[in-house]
Order: sequence, then C-alpha cells, then structure tokens
Amino acid sequence: MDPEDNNPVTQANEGKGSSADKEDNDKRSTPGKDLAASAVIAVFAVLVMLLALRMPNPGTLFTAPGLLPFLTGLALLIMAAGLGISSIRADGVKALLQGPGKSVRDYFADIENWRTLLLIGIIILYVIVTQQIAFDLRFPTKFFAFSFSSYELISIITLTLILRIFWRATLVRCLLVSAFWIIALASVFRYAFHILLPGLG
Amino acid sequence: MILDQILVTLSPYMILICLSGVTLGILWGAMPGLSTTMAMVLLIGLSAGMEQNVAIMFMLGVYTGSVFGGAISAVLINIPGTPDAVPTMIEGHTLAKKGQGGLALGTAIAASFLGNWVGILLLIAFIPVILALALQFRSWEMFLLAMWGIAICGTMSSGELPLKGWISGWIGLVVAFVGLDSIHGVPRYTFGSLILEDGISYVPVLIGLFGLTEILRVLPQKNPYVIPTDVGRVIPPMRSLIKYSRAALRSGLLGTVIGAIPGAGANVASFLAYDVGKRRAKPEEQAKWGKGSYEAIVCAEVANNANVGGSMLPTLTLGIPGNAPAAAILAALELKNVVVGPAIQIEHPGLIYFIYFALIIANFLMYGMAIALVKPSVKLFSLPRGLLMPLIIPLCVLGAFAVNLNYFDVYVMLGSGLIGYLLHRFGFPLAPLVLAVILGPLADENLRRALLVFEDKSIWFVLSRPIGTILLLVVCFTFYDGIFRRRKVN
Repeated sequence: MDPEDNNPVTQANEGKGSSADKEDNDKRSTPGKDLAASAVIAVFAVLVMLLALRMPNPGTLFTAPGLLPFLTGLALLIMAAGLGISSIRADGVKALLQGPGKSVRDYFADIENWRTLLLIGIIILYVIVTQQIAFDLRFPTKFFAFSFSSYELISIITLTLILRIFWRATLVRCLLVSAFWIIALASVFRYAFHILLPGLG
Repeated sequence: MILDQILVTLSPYMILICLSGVTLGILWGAMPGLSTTMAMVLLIGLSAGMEQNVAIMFMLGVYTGSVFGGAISAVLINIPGTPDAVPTMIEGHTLAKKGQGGLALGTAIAASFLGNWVGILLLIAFIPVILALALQFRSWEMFLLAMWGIAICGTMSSGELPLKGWISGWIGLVVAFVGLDSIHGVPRYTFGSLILEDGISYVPVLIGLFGLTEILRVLPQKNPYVIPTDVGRVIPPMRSLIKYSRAALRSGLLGTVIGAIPGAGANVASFLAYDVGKRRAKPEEQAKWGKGSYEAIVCAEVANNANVGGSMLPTLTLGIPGNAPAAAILAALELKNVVVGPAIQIEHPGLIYFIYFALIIANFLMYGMAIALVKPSVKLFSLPRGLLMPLIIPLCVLGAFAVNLNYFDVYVMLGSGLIGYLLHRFGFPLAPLVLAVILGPLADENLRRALLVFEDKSIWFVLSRPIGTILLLVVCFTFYDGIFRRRKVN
C-alpha cells in the first residue's frame, strides 16, 4: 500500500484534502482490486438470491418474504457485473493475474498493516474476554455501594496495552489514563444512567 | 392558552432543565459511539420520575442538543454521532484537517440553529398543509423515497464511482433483511439462529462502520493526521450566512417535509438536501463539494435540524413517530398517561404549543451552548490520535451494548468494523451501507404493501399517483445520472 494514499496530512497540506469517504475511494480503487471485489460480490449476490428463493411464502407472490431480497440480490449481481466489466476494460484481469502474490507481499511488507492486524487481534480478544469473564465486586460504604466489575478490569488492561503500543507513553502514564477513563465512563453508565455494563457489571 | 404555555416554558426552572438537557445532549452526541437514539432511549426510564412538563423539556433539550452534538465528532474525528451527520463529516473533517475546524463547527451550529427555526416556523404556519402533503406518502411513495435516499447516498459518497456506493447500499439492504419478516413472520437469513430473528440493529452497525473502522484506519498509521489546535474564527461571517440563505431555506423545507413523513427521518433529509444543494450550487461552489464546502455543511445541517420539528408533527398529531428519537419521546409521554394522536388538542389542550415553545427555547440554548463548547471540543479532539483513538474503543463496546443490553450487538459492532475496514481498503463508501440498514425494513414492508394494493390494477393506476410518479422518475434519473457521470469521467 502506498502510504501517501492513506495520509490525509499530505492531502491537506497539498490543499487538495477531501472527504474521508469520498476522497480516498478513487485512489484506493485499482482495476485488479475492483475485479476481485466484483467476483466476491457476484458470489454473495447469487447466494442472497438462492436463499431468497428458498424462503417459504405463506401469501401471494406480491407479499412473498423473499421478493425484495431476491430483487436486491439480482440488482447486486448486475452491479457486480458492471464493476467487473469496467475493471476488465481497464486491464483488471492482467493486474489481478500479476498481482495476488505481489499484493499480499506488499501488504505484509508494510509495518502499518502489521500494526493494524495487531490492533484487530487485541480488539477481538477484548470483545471475547469481556463476554467470557464476568464478576462484580461490591464495596459497600455507609453512604454508597461502589462496584468494580470484570468490564472495568478487562478494559483497563486492554486500553493500557493499546496505549502503550500506539501512544508510546510510559506504562504508568498509560495505566493512569486508562484507569481514569474507564472508571469515569463506567460510573456515568452505572450510577447516572443505571445501565448494566457488559459482563455482570 | 398559548400565552400560558409560553410563560411555563420561560420559567427559570424550565430553562435550567432545558439547558442541562441541551448540554447533556451536545456532550453525548459529541462522544463517538453514543447516538441520539441511544440517549433518548436511556432517558425514557429517567423521565418516568420527572413531572410531565419537566420530562418533555429535558428530553427535547437532549434531542436538540444531541442532533447537533453528532456534528462535533463528525467534523473533528471523522466519526459521526448519528447517520445524518455523515454529509457534515464528509465536508467538515476535511476543513478541520486544514485548520478550519472551528469555522466548520461554527457554520454547522448556525445552520443547526437556522434549521430548527425553519422547521418550527414552517410547522406552526403550515401544520395542515405539511400534514396533508406528508399523508400523501403511502406505501409506494415510502418505498420509492427509501430507495431514493439510498441511491443518492451512494452517489454522493462515492466520488466518481457511484456504482460502488450503490453496491455498498445494496449490501446494507441485505443486512436489513436479516430477521423475521414483518408481514408473515418468516425468518430470513437467520440460519436457524434465534438471536438473528430479532434482526440487526443499525446502532451497532453505525458504531462499527464509522467508529471501529476509523480506529483501525488511523491508529496504526506512523504519522496520523493532526487537527490544528488553533481554533480561529468560530462564528461565521454574516455575509456568508446571507450567501447561503437560499440553500438554507430550501434545505429547511426539505428537512421539515421529510421529517413529517413517518419513518423517513433526518438521514434521508440530510442526504437529499446535500444532493439537491450540490445540483443547485454555483459551479465554483460545486467544485468544493466533497473537498470541504461550507455551503454543503449548511445544506445538511439545516435539513437534519429542521427534521427535529418535522418529526414531531406525525408523532403528536397521528401518534406515529417520525423517527427513533421521536418514538422515545412518544414512549416518555405515554409513561405520563399522555396518549398522543388526533385527539391530543382535546385531551391535552396546550400540550402541542408547550412542545413547540420548548423546542424554540431548546434551540436558543443549543446555539449558546454549542458556541461555548466549540473551543474546548477542538482542543479535546485535537489530542494526538495515538491517545484519542484508543479511548474510543471502550466507548464503542459500551455504545453497542447499551441500546438493547445485548452482547450480540457488540459482536455486530465488531463484525461491522472489520467489514468496514475491508470495504474501505477496496474503495467502497460506508455511509450508504448504514443508511440502507436503517431504510431497508421500511422499503421492504412498503413495497410489499404497495404491490398488494396494485394487484390486478393496470400500470396507469400506479402512474396516476403524482407524488409516486415524480419519485419514480427522480429515482430513475439518479441512477441514470450516476451511470452517465461515470461514463463522462471515463
């Protein structure tokens, strides 16, 4: 991946920065990528249509539960074909045949992509662990019962880790920031809005 | 009676309640991952302990505040608090990166203020006309309006490749079909899973696609972008407001009418106003669209704020909520034994006036608070991305979980974030996907109802409905224009 593609600072500095969605779309698109995407979308569309055809229909054709899903799948298939044809015209086949191995190598050669994969891994683990581990400690005082749940503990640990990797501050600083933020957030949800936190909190 | 209601709304206690609601709403909306809908849903329970007028004042304050608050995170960190803030995000974030975040937010505030006024005044002056127009939108028209919204969103957010925007929207439609169908109760794309039978809520999809995707995109960068801390001018110059007054009025009218159509919501309004605004703009302004246009911000913000007043109309007069936050207000009123509907003026005389004056007060307070909060917001959100982005991760988890207190929604948020990242890498815009998840059930139910009505009727019967026919032509033109534009570029 060309880092310039994804660097809004460069774009802004050049005075041609544009929208987050709109700006980068054309730059990120390559005929090879578009052709691969169109193939995946076409398969997805066919699956959508097949499943729509298999849906039971207790009424007439006009109220069939699968009617709009089928039409949506059909429209997706046509659009995927359109995208595929336009990318073939732009030498997408050549790019795709030359590219897959190179694209994968390029992807893993970029340290930013490794950092992205690491971040994805940490977030997936965070979401799973938050659901799996559940406890709620209560510390009753004369006036108020304080709670500390698994959500807070897991979130503080995860956030400290992410901050340490990506913010690169000292461990103590990362821990303090995460503890303050998570406890403040949990307190607002728990005491002000009386909402259960994920896990048992 | 009207004077009594004005005096009630102007009492210091009520103003204080409204101010706290507005402040809470702005701060809530500004937090990435926390949406207007969530704030309103959470407040239903809280409002149960309040006196009726206090509850209404507080909830309307939060509603007005959080609709604008969504623009703060949209402009400063590229994560919209609400789907209708996406056009503001597209334009405003670019301006923020150029160091014009303060003025972009100031323009959004002025436009929100104006939008609220346009919505309220149009409603007070033309309640019967707007209601009559809104009631002309039956199943067929609703279906076409939903499809137009998705098509326009696809066109507007995908640069020179509208096809990719439409594909993204149509994928969103498929996501929206998951669950029990609303007419026969037949499970669709549930694969035998009971959790999927409830369908996929748009809130975790929104949080995942915009929140998590943005984190995955920005945080790993070695040199992520920075938002300049120098806020600069916040209040837009009067001449630029005058310059955009035409666009504002047009967008306000669009926002109000669309708000009055049950189910259509601010999302459709802001994208329609954004699209119409671009078509009507002068060529030099048109060129700025998508690259940081103040006029575009005015169009989108006026429309989605005019929608606040508009959405209250069917809620109060028909008992049909115009959108999800309006449904929360309806629920809060029902907790107070106020059954809204055609007889509201007889059963609760003066309540409608109270609500509209409350909206006016909330609007003034929103303007003041928003201006006061711009500079601290810019300072806060210009923190290094390496510090700011990780703090949003637990917010995303909490935000996805808190709406239904269902952990499945957290997985939906996670999945949406990963898919969003993948779609982004392949150059597909994300906004149409979210809009389609919101509008999909509306489109599906209304198409099937319309087809039942049209059964055994000739094509002329379908074409004899003027609004439906105009909408059909407009939808066809949107697709034609998208394809034609692509060819022209090629």
